[in-house]
Amino acid sequence: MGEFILDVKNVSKIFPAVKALDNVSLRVRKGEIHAFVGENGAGKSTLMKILNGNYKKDEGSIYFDGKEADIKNPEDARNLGISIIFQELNLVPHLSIAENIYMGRLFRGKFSLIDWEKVYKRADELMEQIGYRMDSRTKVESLSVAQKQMVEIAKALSYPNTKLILMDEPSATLTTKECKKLFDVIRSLKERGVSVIYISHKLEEIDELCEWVTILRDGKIIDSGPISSFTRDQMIAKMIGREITNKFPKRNSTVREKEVLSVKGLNRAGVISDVSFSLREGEVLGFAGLVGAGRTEIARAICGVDYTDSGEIFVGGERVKINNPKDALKVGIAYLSEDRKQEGLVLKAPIKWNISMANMENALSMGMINEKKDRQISDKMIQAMLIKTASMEEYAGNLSGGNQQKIVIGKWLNTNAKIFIFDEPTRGIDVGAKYEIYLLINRLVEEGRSVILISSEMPEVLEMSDRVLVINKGTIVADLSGEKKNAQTVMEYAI
Amino acid sequence: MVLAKKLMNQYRIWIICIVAFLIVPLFKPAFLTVNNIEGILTSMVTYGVIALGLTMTLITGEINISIGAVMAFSSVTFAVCMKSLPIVVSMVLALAGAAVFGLVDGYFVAYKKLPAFMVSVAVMVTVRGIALAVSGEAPVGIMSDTIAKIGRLQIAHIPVLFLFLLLCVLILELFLKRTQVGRNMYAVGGAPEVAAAYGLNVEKYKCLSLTFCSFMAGVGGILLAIRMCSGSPSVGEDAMPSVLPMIVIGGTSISGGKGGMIKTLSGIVLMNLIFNIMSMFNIYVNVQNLIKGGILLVIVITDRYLENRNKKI
Repeated sequence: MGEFILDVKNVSKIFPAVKALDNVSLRVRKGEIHAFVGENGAGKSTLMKILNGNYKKDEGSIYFDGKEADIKNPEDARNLGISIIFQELNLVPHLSIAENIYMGRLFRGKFSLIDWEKVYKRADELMEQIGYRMDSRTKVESLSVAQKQMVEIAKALSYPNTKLILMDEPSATLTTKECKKLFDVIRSLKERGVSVIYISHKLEEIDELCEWVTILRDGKIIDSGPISSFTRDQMIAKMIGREITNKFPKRNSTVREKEVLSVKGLNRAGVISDVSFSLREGEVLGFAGLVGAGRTEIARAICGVDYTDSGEIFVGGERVKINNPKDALKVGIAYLSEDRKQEGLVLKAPIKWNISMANMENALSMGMINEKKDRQISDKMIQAMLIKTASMEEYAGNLSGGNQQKIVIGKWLNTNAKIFIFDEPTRGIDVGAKYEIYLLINRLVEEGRSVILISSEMPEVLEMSDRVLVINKGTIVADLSGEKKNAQTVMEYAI
Repeated sequence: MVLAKKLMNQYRIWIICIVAFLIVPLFKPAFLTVNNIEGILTSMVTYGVIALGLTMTLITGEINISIGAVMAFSSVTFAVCMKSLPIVVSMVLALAGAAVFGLVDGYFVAYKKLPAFMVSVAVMVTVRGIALAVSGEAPVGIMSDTIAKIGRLQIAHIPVLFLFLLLCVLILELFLKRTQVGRNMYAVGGAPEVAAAYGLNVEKYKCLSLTFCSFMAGVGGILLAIRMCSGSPSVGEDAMPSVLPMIVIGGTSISGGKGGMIKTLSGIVLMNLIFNIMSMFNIYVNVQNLIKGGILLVIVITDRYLENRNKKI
């Protein structure tokens, strides 16, 4: 038994309506860097949360360091020696690095008052151990994401018995250089005998960093073995487990000649530079690129959410001035934010309000809301958008992600918008609902509207778009269509 | 230059206070008289102590509207008890009452997750009613030479009550900066979910801070009663609009997790200086209120500006 630090045996977890984990067994060796891969919703996060004590397992048993472990809450996990670094980092922004590391257990000196000298010294030492020399008095709010991650790692190591660190997509928001540094740190953890479970979507990283890989799909373990025993294509095939065809619906229309939107020389210092492109009627124009490349920023600049330093926007051939989203809507541009819960919906309002919100005028008679008209509009949209709900009085917050996204689309359809900018429209949405969103996008263009599709999912942006613009460092680096519109070319320009 | 900038950022309120002390006497020599300074120091005490309590609550990310009512309750309870009981017992009774109201407030806010604003309004209305009932709806005089003496007691021309305020500031600052419980208050206010994930009992600390705030409002009520030699059920109506500016100007964030007692002291000093200077220049009371409101607005705006200046928008 001594060889394995973690031994998960036949663990299952059932949520209402879904079996999130189905009879999962896996083992992690001491000092091993072990990768978890799988699509969104494959069960990686659920397993992590069970190991951290956020969720209770329904069946099975977990052995940690040779002993059966009963993990009821995150404190239990930490006491055992398991630390988790979540994607949304667990740090208090107003406090210093040192204080975040030693939260709730600061060293005491004389009169049992806190000995700050010792706290800062120890924290400095910890940061230095992982190769990040920085003043631990610095407030966390002033750190970059990469630095914050290092603070989390230091925090994990500050518990003397930490033997296993789980990392949930730590590299998602890091630059290549920061990533390299992170890998060095992870390798140094290995040398100290600490095991790491590394969750990532980036297979090339896993190839480089990890020794063992476990592939999950639909809550089951599909395969597990040394990294050398899989090729990248094999991993992908096992992750997806089905043919990718049919994921995207066919479209029965062609792009027309008429140019509906033209952007010329859009600039914003330090964010986007010299962005020029045009969009035609009935076209889906994809924006591809890495996270942080400036895709969202371009969309926000066009819609007047963010200011611009210079640039011209033409809608239907006419020069327009857009200072805020309301101006954008007036000329027919609707922006569907990537953050639909914050910027797209009023979660605590009924569906019907959310739908009629963007264009109250349709629901008014004599300056007041006409309840009957309001209901008619909502009824029409709920049917047209195939929103699954018992009633239009239901709160938007109670619906699934896919249905929420449909409400947002319905909201903008209720206006006279001709150009729809979708920013990550299928993020956090399950496969079935994704397909319906694609159908809706197709319908928009079939009816003569135009769509800009910003997406981090390569197949989505490639398959759905007629033409793909690749954005890199705030500017358009490639305009791909036809044969050249493929993943390989997009990545070459994006990196 | 960097140092000057840092000093300006950290101590700007103190610097403004010093500048006021240097400039105002040029126009009004009466400003620097012993009498006036004593007056300023004494005027800080009541709302000053209450501001300290509310600072703690704001650091944990909550708010307590009931401070004025609790202050009135404590002042009349103390005055009524003084008729038949010794000083210390009267104080303990008044403070215990104040703390219990805070505990009730804290229980519902922290453990029952009700909005602090609404709960403390409910407590405010109730406690004001109790204060009126206890006092028989009229001010209650305190016939005690000891009390009158304490109210006037001075050490080297400095009122003892003001020294008491300073002592409170020092002890509380030490508590916040150098004890685990004090640090936890910041964590709980700055990011409650994170604090909870690291095993801190968020509910306990929030409840504690609300109880403490109410307790300090009680202390403020007793200090006022000592100064006035009477307790009144109608005092403290303007507690919130007077105390909140002191705290915010000092640099404690309304959204939690940021601030401190010395910072609040700077706000207490500045606001009382401003009141005093306005009186010196015989500014009409209604205009004074207008100016107060304006100052608060300006400070909130500049604070937000300074905070956002370095951020990308």
